[in-house]
Amino acid sequence: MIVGIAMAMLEIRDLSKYFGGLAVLNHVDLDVSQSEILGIIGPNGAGKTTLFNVVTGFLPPTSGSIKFEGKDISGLRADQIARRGIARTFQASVLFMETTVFNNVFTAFHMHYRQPGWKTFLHTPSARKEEVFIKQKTTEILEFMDMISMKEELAMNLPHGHQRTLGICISLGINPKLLLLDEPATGMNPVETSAMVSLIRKIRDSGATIVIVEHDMKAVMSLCDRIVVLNHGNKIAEGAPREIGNNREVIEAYLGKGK
Amino acid sequence: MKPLNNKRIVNVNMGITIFITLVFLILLPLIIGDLYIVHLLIMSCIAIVLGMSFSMQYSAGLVNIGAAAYYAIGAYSSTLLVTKLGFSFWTALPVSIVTTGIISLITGLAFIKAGTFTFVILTLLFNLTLVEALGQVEVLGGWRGFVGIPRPDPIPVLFHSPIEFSGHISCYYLILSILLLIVLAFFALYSSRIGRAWKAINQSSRLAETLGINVYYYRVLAFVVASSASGAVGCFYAHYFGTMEPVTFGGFTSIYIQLYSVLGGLQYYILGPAIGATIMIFGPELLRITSELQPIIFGIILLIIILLFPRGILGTLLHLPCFEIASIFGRIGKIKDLIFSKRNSS
Repeated sequence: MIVGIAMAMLEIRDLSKYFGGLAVLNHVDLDVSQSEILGIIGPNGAGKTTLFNVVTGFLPPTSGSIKFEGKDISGLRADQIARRGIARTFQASVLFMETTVFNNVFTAFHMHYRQPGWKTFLHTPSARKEEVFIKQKTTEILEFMDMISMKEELAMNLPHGHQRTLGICISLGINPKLLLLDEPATGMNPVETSAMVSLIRKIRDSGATIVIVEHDMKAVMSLCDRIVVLNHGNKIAEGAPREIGNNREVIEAYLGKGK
Repeated sequence: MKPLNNKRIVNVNMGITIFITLVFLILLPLIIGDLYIVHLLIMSCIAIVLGMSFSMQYSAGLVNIGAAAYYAIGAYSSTLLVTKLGFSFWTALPVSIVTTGIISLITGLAFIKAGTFTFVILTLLFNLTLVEALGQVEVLGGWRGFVGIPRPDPIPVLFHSPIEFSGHISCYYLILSILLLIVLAFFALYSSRIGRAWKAINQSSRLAETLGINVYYYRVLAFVVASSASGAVGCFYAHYFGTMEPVTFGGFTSIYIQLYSVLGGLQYYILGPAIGATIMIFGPELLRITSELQPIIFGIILLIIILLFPRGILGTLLHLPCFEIASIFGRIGKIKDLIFSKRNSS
């Protein structure tokens, strides 16, 4: 088993999130190990996206702890968590729509500038050099993700599949240690989905750890090292894809109990 | 290779355009003999800065509908410094900019924390309350206003008589230099990572946060920089006119400031207000023939322009197909949508 061998990168303990009286996450424990691809699946309303929102600081947890690389991050603001190295994408295509593809990714490097603000304001040679360097990095990401050919296109004019890819390009801009992908293959045809799967593998091979929420079972099964199943805010199963596929409780959660 | 070449051509063109515009602006009062038109040019420069400061806040996703408050703070603080404490205009100008900056920092920290929607209402309330308060302070002239604010002090020049600011033309050059400095500073900000962070926040504050952008910090920054610029022209305004009353800085002025930006095009943070403000200052003058109906006619023209061209004048010009008759009719069809649904400007 992979669990327990490497030190957990992300440690979630006893995490709960209530909306009023409704428990969307109910005492969830979850570990993510270095450079694995972890899939989180579950029926609609299982709390997958809420889990992402709590981990990335968009929602405060009701109780429980979240540790990233051994340090508690629960209660930090979203931008502070991003600075620790956790990137995320959104379920809907949340992009800088009125901006070109290139500038979308260029903007994403915001936290990597080392020159002080007044130098950026005065456009000193060192600040310009830094900008040129970051433009190179932007080009590298677009080449890596095979988006370079449409770099002058406005984000809103892209077809859906490319918008999803651009969302991932943007999240790569912060050079994440941990990347949370929220349904990257939604609304894609099988060809696009398999291209997305190989892209995600490529990102993992370049050194990032990935947690993915996805409904496309075929994609999840082929991509993930390990799968966690949520249902009504509870973790009901965890294990290798093959074990999950045969798990009675998981099948019941998806298809209902048959008698 | 091709895009690179294109970019260079655009840059050369831009350089030439900027140079010609500068020469034109400098020669303008010499070409025009009419001092009243020079006065209107001065008012346009003030209005352009006010519009640009509204647009800067908009670029960070803030809608400030009480922008005239900080214009007032600049004007009143400089007047106090010069008439009561004996400062020269040239020291009062930076001091009043800093004063406006500090007050906008304190109010901005509180207003922006309250959320973007509440921010809109808070800025308006602050504006209206400030005007009421200024009306009650007798030291500042109360409702009758302040009379007898001196013009900027003359600048001594070597081997030459000092530059006086008693006439319109020297005042025009003064406000033009202030305007150009502010344009330069704003342009430097917009083309840096600070401006990119603002635009990111404007388009999607959630996505901006996931990139490590501290949304609150950058919004306060935009608010303070923009308000300080309004303070600078407020200071100039007081010394140029020599008189002012609280009503000058009331809600109507704030609405005009928004119009400068919206009319020119909200997406164009510098050129939009420049075009919008110039039209708003000169437009009513062109309609002088019907002096009583003039505000009504101008108001109706404004309504029609903004309804038909929600992108603003500049936005429409740059998307030229919008001039095609078919698409104008298409827009008329969209008016209903415009009225009954919120424009999605997330």
